[in-house]
Amino acid sequence: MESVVTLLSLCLAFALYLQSCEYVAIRKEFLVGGTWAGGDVSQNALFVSHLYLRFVFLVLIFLPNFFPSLLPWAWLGLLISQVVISVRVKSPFSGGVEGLIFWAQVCLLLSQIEGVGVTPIYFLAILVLCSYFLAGFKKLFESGWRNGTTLEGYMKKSWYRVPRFIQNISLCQFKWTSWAIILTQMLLPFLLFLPSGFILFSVVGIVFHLSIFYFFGLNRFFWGWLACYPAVYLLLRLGDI
Amino acid sequence: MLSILKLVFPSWDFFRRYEAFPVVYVTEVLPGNATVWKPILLPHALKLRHLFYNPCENLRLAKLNVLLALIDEINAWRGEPKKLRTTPYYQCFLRICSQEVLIQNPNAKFFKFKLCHENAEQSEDLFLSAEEGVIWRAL
Repeated sequence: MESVVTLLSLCLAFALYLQSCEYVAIRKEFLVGGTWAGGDVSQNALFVSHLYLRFVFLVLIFLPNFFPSLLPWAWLGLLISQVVISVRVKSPFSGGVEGLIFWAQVCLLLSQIEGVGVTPIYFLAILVLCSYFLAGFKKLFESGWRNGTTLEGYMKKSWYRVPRFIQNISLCQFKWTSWAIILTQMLLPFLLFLPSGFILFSVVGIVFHLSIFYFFGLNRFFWGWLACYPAVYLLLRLGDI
Repeated sequence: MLSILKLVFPSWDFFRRYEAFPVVYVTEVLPGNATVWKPILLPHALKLRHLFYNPCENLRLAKLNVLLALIDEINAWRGEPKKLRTTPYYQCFLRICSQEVLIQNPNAKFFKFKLCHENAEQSEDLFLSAEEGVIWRAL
């Protein structure tokens, strides 16, 4: 059980490491004249410095045996950093995945507290499963998703650079694809009830997130959700106990 | 405060509704020259390495979130352009447009931006800004 929590911790740290590298790459956006420039120069400098501090927290998480007592502080630091970035950007930087990562950090932080155990990790797993189911369930009530026009709009006339072959796809094909997406999202959590359910769940989930990356370029969604899969595994093992 | 609430209570509403996506155009204002509108915030080509590291595209999408918030502000302050110009998202968007204008001409002083559906030549403007001063960026 402890090894699964460690794996979850490392996976999430890896996702946060990739995010942190991207934040450092766009640090100019938080300085004078940048998109999210603050009020004064020292405030901006402090904000950009904190982006580098995230790597210190990540080292503490990647090497848990060296400073075990600092581990909760590292998660707390990353959590505060995420809130600070969201406040500065006036919205979660990458949309829905930020919410999942926020809760994953909260759950890992809580699980570090003595006596709490892995209960927060079960909560995280339920959150992951709900995120898939609810995303599909809400689409079910949208006529645009049921007839394929919403997906066609996103694929053909949106801000995303989708592959060129998409322009030749008919509305009927978009309709079938829309239903495939809705059913995949809604049924994904129920795959866990099948024998070797976790493997099936992981394979379908990875293919689903890879396709989102391929069509829309959303890499953070891929790593954010995948990082939480060990929590789902832990929830599944709960049934064996 | 709203940003923290959005973080704590994610909606899981991914791609739920489709609304027409506006395109942003900027032009440098030069006395006597014809106006040439150039589209900005266009998507980048996707490579496999972007699965790991994609700062440009994530930044572009975050800037487009600013645009969506700006559209709400434009609708809220319709008929009151002076108030609109003081709103945080308008100021934020001015900096985004300034960066794009400075890429095209590092000595640019003034610019305008507009929001349109699809092709700027064929469709009606959703919004046309007043002449704005370029905001310089830290090196």
